[in-house]
Amino acid sequence: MSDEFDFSSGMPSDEMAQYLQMFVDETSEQLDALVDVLLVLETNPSSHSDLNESFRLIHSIKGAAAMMGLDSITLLTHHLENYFERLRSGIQHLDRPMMQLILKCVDFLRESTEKLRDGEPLRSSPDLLDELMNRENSQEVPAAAENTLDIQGSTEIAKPSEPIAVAESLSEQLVEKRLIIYFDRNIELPELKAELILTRVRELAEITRLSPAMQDLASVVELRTLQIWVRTIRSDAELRAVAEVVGVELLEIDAIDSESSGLHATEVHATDAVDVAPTLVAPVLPSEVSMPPVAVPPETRPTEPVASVEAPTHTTEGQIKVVETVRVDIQRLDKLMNLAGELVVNRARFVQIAHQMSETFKKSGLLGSLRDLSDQLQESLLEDSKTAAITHDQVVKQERRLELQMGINTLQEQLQVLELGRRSFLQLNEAIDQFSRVSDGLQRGVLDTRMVPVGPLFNRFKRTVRDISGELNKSVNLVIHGEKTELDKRMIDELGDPLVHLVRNAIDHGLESEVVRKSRGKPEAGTLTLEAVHSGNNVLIYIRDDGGGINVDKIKKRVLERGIATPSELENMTDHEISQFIWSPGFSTAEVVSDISGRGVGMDIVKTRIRELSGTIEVHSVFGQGTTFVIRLPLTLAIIRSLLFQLNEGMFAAPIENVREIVSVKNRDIISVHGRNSIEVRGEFIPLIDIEDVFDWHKTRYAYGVNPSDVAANETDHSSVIILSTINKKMGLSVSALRGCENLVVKSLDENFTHIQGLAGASILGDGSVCLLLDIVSCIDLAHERLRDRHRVNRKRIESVS
Amino acid sequence: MNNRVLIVDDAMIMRLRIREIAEQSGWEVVGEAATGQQAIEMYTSLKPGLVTMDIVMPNLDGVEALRAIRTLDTKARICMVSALNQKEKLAECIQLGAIDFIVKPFDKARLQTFFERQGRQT
Repeated sequence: MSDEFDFSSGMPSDEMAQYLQMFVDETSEQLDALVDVLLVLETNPSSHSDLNESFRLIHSIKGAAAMMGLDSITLLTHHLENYFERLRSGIQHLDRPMMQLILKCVDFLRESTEKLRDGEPLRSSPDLLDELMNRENSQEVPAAAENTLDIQGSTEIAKPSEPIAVAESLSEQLVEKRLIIYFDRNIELPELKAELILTRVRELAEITRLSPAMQDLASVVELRTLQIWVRTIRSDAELRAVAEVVGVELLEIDAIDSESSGLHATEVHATDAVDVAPTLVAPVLPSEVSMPPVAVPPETRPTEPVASVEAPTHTTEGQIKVVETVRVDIQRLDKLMNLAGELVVNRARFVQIAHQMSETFKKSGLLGSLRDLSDQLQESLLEDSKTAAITHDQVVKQERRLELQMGINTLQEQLQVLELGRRSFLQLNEAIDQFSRVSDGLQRGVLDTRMVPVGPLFNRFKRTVRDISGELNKSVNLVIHGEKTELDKRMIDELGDPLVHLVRNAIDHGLESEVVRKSRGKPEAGTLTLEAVHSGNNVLIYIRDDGGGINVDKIKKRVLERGIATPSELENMTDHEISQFIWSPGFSTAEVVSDISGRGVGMDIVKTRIRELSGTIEVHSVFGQGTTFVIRLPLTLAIIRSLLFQLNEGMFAAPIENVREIVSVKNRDIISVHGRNSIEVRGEFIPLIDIEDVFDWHKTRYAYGVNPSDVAANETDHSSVIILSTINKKMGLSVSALRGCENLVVKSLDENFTHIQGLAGASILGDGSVCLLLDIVSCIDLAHERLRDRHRVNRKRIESVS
Repeated sequence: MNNRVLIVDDAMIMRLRIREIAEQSGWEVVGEAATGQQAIEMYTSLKPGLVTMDIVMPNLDGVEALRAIRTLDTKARICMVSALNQKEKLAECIQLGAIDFIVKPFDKARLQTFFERQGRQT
């Protein structure tokens, strides 16, 4: 079958490389879309619009693959296309085993595109092809029906052999041929294209028959194939030259001779004749209405309902296509992003320098005082020359005065220059303002180019959820919200794996079996929600299930088994604190280790991966009601708007999203709640944390020669406290001094140095100094841990005393 | 037959785009005309193997230019490049012997295919 299509628009391989990236990207998108449609088809196998859409997607992958000369993909999609062709025309119906096979093919295609991306050679897919072809053959059984179709389709000429006989008697060379023209999807003005082809073919040949018929061509909305039967002395190449106009994807020319017409033509013809009708969203051909009952259902069904169903899909497609896009290698964007980042750093440096210069150029500053000085000197010199009488020995003095006068003159000239400098400085300030605006704009622009909606990422989970729920025999409804929320492309790419893990976990461990759900009065089908929400400079991603929630008792048991904590430690912990143990390395509560959610190596790795994206992940669970994971990601990895402050001698920053407010607290207002320092802010108690509770700070401080007690003595009775908050935690951090807000270009410590718990990265400030960016979630966790340890030590001390 | 193409369009950006694609597809662009009148003159002097022809142009539109050129040279190979709303004119062009039409805005790939197929034939 593969010999039948000759894609004459094949491309030389060196040119191919240039288009490979485009092919890979486009095909992956099309595969994503295909899976979406297939999943809809699974619930509604006869949905004509979805069958059409699947066909379209497969067909366009085939076309692109053929152009790229990728035979294994072309071959497989060709057979898939055949199969969907029969589904569309109602000859076959989509059953479950077939769906599995199709999905396997999709997997193969996806794997192939991945291989192409990695530059690996493609393998062929003999098993899948065999299976597809077996199905093609086994289901081609209703031959009787096809023969009927064939006869019905060729009403214009009852028996093709008769005219040929006539033709042969007229001329030896006059040959009957059939041109099957496959048009591109979405060609413009199809009726005009058909007219063009007919006009041009007529110059070379006598057209004996046409499908669809002439009168129907004028009113077609969508034209997929056009078949022209001709009698001609011209060669195939000549016919091809005129008929292969722009918009023709593939042109097949069959020679119809009397011997083979019976066998050959029937086989291809049957499907084609059926093909033409459903693709034409046009008034039903009169001849088709009178078709035998066997063929009527598939033929007539599409006409009216399809038109109404398809109309909206077409318009939305049209709207999407209006936006012109350019595919860019993400590394180029990374480079651009880095440069934009450097620009931001440079801008900060300009601002800093200008700030320093402003001291010099201030009206009341250096320039002013120099001018005053010069004026004073001039005045006293004048006074002196008025009062003093001109005596003989004062001639010398006069000379000195002249010298002094000249000096003052020079000084005044220099002052003029300085004044000009001051004006330039003011202009410089304006220029810096302008520069800042442009660099802000550039930065936003570069960020924007990297943003893509999370929709495709989320939609991929339809398939994942289908597979896992099928395997575990649980029914799951996947709900997706906020698919238009945009996120940095790189993050979308990196998020896939952690999300898969969380989704698997949710279905495997989170959702109960149907029996249990029933007994708990829940709907049998569990609900899994994926939601993306934009929040300030962050995107929050929720993975929510309505399952059993985290079983704290099970966790306690496992924690003790693994020796991660002691019973007395667990005693003082809240349920929420205990559930945090799921993040511990090597922790797993699954009673049966299943293939699906791995072997308990998951959650700590998920957390690490999210952290690598400068994000945080938290878990909330209500026993019996469900679990929610919240991933918080910065909109971009590179630039974070932050509040700068000083802690002791170091400069630190916290992402502005984590800063709820800044309060000034009197030292005597700090109260102790359960042995922890707290402050009261509008009736709410917030734990007050010292940086020492987070980091081992002592060593650094002593190294700088500062004694902690000195600092304590220097402290005024007020201190500034930054209220830092994450999704469900708050803490107050007392700081030495506040230093304002800045856009920090964050450099990873992990890449350049080593990971330090509690720090998200470092940044270079305008004055060239380094500032450390706090990772607020882990800071709060660390502080809690430390305080708990201290609390335990204290308690032990009390116990031993008593 | 030759692999020399004449590009006719009143918009420079269009001429540039078509030129780029034609050259990539192995055609030599022998001239660019911005009006129908120019197109006729350049056709007679340059005798290109292929012409891409805009329809809406100042100083003689594409249909008239096509008519004139086809009268001068019945073998002239002219492909119309036009916006979707020129359906009636396009139909007229087909009757006047245009070898093909391409609807603006066009896909690069589509035009490339056109040039490559035409290249094979010449």
